[in-house]
Amino acid sequence: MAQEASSSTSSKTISLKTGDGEIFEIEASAAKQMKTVQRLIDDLGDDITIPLHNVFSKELPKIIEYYKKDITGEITKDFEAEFVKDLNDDEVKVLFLAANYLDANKLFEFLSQNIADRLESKSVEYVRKYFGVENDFTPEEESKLREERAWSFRGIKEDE
Amino acid sequence: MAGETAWISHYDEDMKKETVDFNLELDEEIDKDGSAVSVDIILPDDLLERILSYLPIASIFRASCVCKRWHATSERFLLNPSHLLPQKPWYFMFTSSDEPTGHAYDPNLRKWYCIELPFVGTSNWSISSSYGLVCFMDNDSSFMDNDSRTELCLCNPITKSCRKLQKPPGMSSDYGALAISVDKETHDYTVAIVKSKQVPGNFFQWDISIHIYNSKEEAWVTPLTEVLTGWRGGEESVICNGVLYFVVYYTGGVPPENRHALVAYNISNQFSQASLSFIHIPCSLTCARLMNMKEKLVMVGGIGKLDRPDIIKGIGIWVLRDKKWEEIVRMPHKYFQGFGEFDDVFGSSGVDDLIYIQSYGSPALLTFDMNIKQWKWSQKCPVTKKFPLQLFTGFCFEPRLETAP
Repeated sequence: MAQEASSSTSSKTISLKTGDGEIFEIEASAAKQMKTVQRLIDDLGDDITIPLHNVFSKELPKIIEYYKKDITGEITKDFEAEFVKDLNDDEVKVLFLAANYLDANKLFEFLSQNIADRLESKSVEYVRKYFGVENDFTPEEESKLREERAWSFRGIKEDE
Repeated sequence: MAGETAWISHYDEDMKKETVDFNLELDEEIDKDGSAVSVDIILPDDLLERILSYLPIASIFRASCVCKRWHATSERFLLNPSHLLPQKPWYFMFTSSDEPTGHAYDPNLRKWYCIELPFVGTSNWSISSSYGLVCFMDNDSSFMDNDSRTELCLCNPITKSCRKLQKPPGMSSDYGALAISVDKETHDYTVAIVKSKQVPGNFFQWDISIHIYNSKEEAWVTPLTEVLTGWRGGEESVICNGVLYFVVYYTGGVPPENRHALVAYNISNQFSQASLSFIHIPCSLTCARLMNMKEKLVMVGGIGKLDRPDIIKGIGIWVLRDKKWEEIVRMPHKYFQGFGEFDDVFGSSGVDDLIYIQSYGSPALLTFDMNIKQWKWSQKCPVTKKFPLQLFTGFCFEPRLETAP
């Protein structure tokens, strides 16, 4: 039976268990921002440790950090820039997929933009590797496509 | 492996997305320090689209070369740009006065691209653009006797689709102004040409005719011909909110007020006897340019000195509200100076919230964002002035794939 999790005060914390067995605490108001977590709370009750099979101890703390800032209304552009500054492309990707799984919209949008920004100047080969995508064009098909779009490959950047 | 099945099962249960086109491709890579196993996940379509929606157009083009699935998704995406973040409009700068080559500036990425226009026309043509389509008109008919040899071409500079339009009927003219307007919903378009021809033997009288082309009917109509006394049309016009505006120039000697005025003609009312209405221009302006900025009429012009109106002391931007001009901003002195040799000839062009200003004598390009009221130099155009009298001109356009001539 679903408990009235939504009436919890802000001091109430929820326990989350990652796919690799670690437990993290998060404030109920932050948990509300992650729709998947909220649904699990609604189904299982807020006194039970919520299992998150697809999120791991490497990324969950970072996500919790983001939403800690969010509930106090302190997310600024500077904070977001700092948040991703030391993350490499793969780490951002893992966070992005985790945010998607958790249905954490705000973080998800921010990371979508960040990944797009990172990829925008990368080569097609890099993007393939990044997403684990197999190139299924024949060499002829690919060179034809690249030729059609040649201008977008040859961005003439002013020497800086 | 336990991790693998956990991913799939929870993904199916917890994800609200309808069809999850989801393959798990295990590509184990043990990090050098022997820690976590990295797993490459193939993005489902909806996540891919989400990322694409934040990319600028040029990057989406490149993304379509990644693989067939990305190609299909990118194409679908590009043709349905309501999903894309609004892109700032680009600026095409001709780098030669004889050929349709030039560089296109993408202010979103601050990059210049080498683009060739898909037809044979030059910077001397009249140009008007709307919603991704660019219309070119060759005005060079002054030496022709009867047949107006006006060549008209419509193209999409990004997709390179191009179409020659049948010429408007009628006599050749001394001046022609071109304007195009594309309907955002239907992608139908209206092209308007204002022709001015001096009445033979009379310095002060000019035959003005307005010709309208509608892409649905594929035909020209001439809803208005009038004789103006003391005023003639020129080469500057724009369609804004269903109204055709064009600049007229005083030809009667000493002007009553200013040398220029604005004329408005309601196109949507062409079947009821709409006539021309005159609107004042705030002060003596050189190189006045009209532009449609989110269906508001904006004018950019050089403010002439009182005693020497052909020398600019500044550049201003005005918007027309209820037939009255409101000055939005004046170009700050430092930018005005930054153009260097600012001949009194400069061009300006804008779409949505961005105005581009370019001095004909140099490839420097200045932008003004109407939304945040910010002036900014573009990234320097990779072209150098080859000879002293070389002119640089260009036009602003929206990079869209979904409109075709």
